[in-house]
Amino acid sequence: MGNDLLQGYHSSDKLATVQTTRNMQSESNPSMGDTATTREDGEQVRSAESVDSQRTPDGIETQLPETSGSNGSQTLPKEYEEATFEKNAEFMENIRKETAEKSPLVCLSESIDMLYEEYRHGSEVYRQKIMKLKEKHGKIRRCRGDGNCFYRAFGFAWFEQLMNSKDQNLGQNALTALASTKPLLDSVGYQSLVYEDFYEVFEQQLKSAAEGGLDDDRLLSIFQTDEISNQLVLYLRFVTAGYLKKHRESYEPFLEFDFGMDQFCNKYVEAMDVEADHIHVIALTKALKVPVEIAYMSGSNAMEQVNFHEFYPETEPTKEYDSLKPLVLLYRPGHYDILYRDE
Amino acid sequence: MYGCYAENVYKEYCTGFQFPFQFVLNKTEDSKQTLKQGLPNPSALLSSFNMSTSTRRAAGSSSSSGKHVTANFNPTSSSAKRIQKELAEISLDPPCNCSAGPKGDNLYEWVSTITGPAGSPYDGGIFFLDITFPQDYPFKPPKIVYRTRIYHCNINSSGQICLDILKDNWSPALTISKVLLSICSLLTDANPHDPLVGSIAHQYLHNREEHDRVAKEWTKRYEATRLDLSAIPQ
Repeated sequence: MGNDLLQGYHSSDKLATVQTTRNMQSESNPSMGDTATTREDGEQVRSAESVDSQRTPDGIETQLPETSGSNGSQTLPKEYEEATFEKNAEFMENIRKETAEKSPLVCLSESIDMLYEEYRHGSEVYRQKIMKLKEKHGKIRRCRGDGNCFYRAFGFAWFEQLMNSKDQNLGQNALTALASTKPLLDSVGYQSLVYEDFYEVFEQQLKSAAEGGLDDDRLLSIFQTDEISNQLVLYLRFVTAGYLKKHRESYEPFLEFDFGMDQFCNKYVEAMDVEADHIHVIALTKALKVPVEIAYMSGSNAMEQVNFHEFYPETEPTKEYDSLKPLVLLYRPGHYDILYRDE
Repeated sequence: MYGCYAENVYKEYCTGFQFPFQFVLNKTEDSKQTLKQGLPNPSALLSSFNMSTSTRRAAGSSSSSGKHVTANFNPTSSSAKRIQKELAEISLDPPCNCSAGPKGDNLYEWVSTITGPAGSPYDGGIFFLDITFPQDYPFKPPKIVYRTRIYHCNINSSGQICLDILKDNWSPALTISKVLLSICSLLTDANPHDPLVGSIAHQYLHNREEHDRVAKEWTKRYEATRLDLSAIPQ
């Protein structure tokens, strides 16, 4: 079935439409739209609308308000909120379309110099940090800032690693890890009908990545095709939620919100277009046993320092993971992209 | 014109409720005949619907695959696949007081009935709801509206329901079965602190007796038609 879906995306003319990110950068519009596309009610709309005014002329992104359970809307009359919900949905849809025109879900990889260019007239701190990053990381691959960027970046980087790896075990381990997510989801009470379609798609694609059935173009077209790309993202979301629910006693104390793990997962993990936080990253790496390193780049004044956070499936690196190269992601406030470490 | 409208709407529901027959037993002729014979009363419709679900259950696992649905939709569409699965689930194991199924041959348009839960002022009432699945279901929530007037602080006169999971608390891990269950429980436990109709909520909180009396009266009054005629100019 997945192959049917992809037919037509493999043809070369379709691949010619693979967009580069130049347009996006030249507009000095970072559109790290995660915050703007989070699913919030009226209050969030206003904050999203004020994004424009928050953009500094030189293209530095300012940190937008964090997604949080806003209580402000509680006081609005219900009829008003009704209208706001519809309006909000429409507004979000417009943002989505706008960003979709500017940037594909996953872009072609490009030199990290392009990232430097973006900040040429911007923050000195960022420029310094990019230069520092460049010492070891020559390339970057951007993902669309639609709230799903962490999952999409993770998925793409993982598939790409499997595709390019010569180690047969890596693919086998990945498939085993994926297979283990099904009982995980069952054990925390997910009905199989809600995840099995996504599992099948994921398994099929992971298999072809591991068994050499994919090349760069096909991988890119899979991740650029809305339907299939979002199905992969949603499955990763389910896995994340499943892991958090399974280990709720360990993670519940870290929730900032005054509700339990089930509600948290429902609102902030399973739901599409809601960005991932630290806790999501930990859960996903542990659930799939895929180590991830994230370069945190913020505008803070610790000059020239890019902090790498390592997320390893086990607290103590074991032999098994020693040989496993981590996926490398770049985090800028509210957004994830993929980084490539020089060999 | 009034009568014509009512009849059309009625027919729509009738065909909707006979669809499960067609769906399971392929008794298209039967349903056509019923239409010709005149419109059966709604409780008969409902029981025929329930009967068809039990027939499905008796039919065993073959029906759960849902493969014999031959409605007009793109078979590669993942939303259609998911909706088919949910249809199989809800037909085999319908939630308490609820039933649901496609209206016609469009898998994305469903009709549902909810019977008023015992112990609530809606006891004995039968409520019709329209369910519309978006093309990108389950990424987006289904749209659900009451087609029977109901006196409830979370449901307005055009049938819109104020329920968080239908809006910003939607999760793709939910199913239509679970959503209907939530809608049902809204009949037992209204949420007057997050109302859609303020006046009813106020009454619910401050004069519960009167609220329940009016709700009962409405349930009885609209039971006769079980149709939403609110759209028709008085």
